[in-house]
Amino acid sequence: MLAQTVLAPHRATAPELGTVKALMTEDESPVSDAPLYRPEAIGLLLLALLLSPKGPKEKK
Amino acid sequence: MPFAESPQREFAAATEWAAGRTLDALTGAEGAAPPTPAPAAPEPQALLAGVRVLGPDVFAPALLTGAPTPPETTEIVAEAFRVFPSDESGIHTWRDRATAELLTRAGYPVSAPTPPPPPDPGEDGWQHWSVRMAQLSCLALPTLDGPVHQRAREHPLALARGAARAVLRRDHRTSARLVRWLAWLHRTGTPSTLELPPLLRQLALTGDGTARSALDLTVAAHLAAG
Amino acid sequence: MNPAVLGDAHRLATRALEWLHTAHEQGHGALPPDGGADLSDPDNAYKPIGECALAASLVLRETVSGPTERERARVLLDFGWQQLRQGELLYERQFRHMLLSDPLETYLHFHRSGYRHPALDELLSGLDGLRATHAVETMPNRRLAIANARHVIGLGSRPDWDALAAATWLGARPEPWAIDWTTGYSVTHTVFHLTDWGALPERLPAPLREYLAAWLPVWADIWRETGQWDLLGELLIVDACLPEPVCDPQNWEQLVAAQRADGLLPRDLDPVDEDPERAFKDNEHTAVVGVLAGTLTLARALR
Repeated sequence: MLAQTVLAPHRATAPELGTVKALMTEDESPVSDAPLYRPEAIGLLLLALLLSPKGPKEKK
Repeated sequence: MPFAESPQREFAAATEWAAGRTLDALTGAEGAAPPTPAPAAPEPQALLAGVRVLGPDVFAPALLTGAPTPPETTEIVAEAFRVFPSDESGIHTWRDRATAELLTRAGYPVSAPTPPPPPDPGEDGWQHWSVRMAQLSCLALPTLDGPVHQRAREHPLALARGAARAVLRRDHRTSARLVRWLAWLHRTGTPSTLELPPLLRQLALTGDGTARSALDLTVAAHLAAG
Repeated sequence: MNPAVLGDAHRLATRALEWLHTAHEQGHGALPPDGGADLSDPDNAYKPIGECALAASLVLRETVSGPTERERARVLLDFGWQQLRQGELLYERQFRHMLLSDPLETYLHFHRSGYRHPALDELLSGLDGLRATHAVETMPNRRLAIANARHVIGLGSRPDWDALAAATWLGARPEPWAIDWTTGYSVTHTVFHLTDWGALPERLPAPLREYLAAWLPVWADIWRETGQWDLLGELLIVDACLPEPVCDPQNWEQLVAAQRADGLLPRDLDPVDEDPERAFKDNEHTAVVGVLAGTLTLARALR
């Protein structure tokens, strides 16, 4: 067969099979980068809210 | 083509290469062809691994545009299936079954093990289920249908929530895979709770730079347009 | 409804209220002794007084809390009313600044619980008759807060609730994946005021109820995962303002797990400040949110 003559591959080893399986079933990103408090995105209007969140402390 | 010694990196790079070739074939880039051995191709074992990872997606250009899959491409998929046999149960066996079905249609009859029951959002919630479905996004192709697709049809809101969640987590890879399912639902007549065009546009603007995600998004755009 | 959620809701609300009560007993949350009607310093106790009064007023409005909790709510309201000099500070501020809405909105919580300042009632009624007060340029979700305050106090104006709702971010039923942190608070406040904190769920237009049923679980999930307890708590209040629960019970589990033994509910994953005054100021809002989320969830279940 063309593929065999061209590629002459060897039967996959267990680690190779495991790698292929992992690439097929990539998991979601383990860390969320969900939108959080950003001082620059708030605006002064928030100060006027009666039941409004306070901004978190300054990050060190 | 130089690769690092770890099969993970080498195979991941080969998968990117194969996805890029498939993407070119799908978008009609000049001189494009689905993955076949070529001067710039990965080492043979890695090339087969990459093709094996893409699985049904190697046939995406043919299924979405009607352009025939070159025989040597089909042959490589069959060879990849022989070198990397489907020998264990796990969610990936649903992908293997789809690859086997497409290979068989193309005249290369191969068999794949019986997959486990398709994942269900009732088991551990829409969040986990949508991630499982993202792992099976390559099943979202025209002419493929089965128990996984039936689950998608039964739970369009769970898929849409999964897609919105992935976008908000800025997990572009999962977003691209899930929007593909939403587009498949649209194509096959299940109304979506999430508007597709703005989401597709947004994901196109915020790509993660991988060929795999670009391929998922391009397939999604074709499905959505169909 | 899921009994575990009801247990978590009860636990969260009871302990958050206890923490607020204890903090006040320890002297937190008071206005500066020399303070006049200038309540504009954002770091002073004016805002917390209003927020604690809100939580307490709804503990009393609903019938789900035990006698200890009702007593604590009454103590918090009495404290706030005394701090505001039986409403005199609100009256003076409203008298001097007729276009401001915070005296009205703060008075609402006390008024709901039976406190009255007759001159302020009269002043508010007069201001409600002016085009000038209704035309103030205000964010759409804030317009709802003001309209609801006027409605609960019983002023004469009759707002077009659907039009007010339609002008908000939520009213546009936007792409749910485009929300950000601040807009999350806009959404929660839109629902709070539109439903008068769950008392009038039908005032939330049906398309918005459906939209929230679809997407609220997603927002709760992403901000639960990132430990945004304050915002998660607000989203669970929104859930309690819907006819049926839509969020996953694990949100409740994690919120309760985040609450410390003394009842303090941290607003996020940052370490709680060791200075008690700072810790009170930082986390008082989240305690109010915890009281409201628990109380309103129980109230919805028993309706």
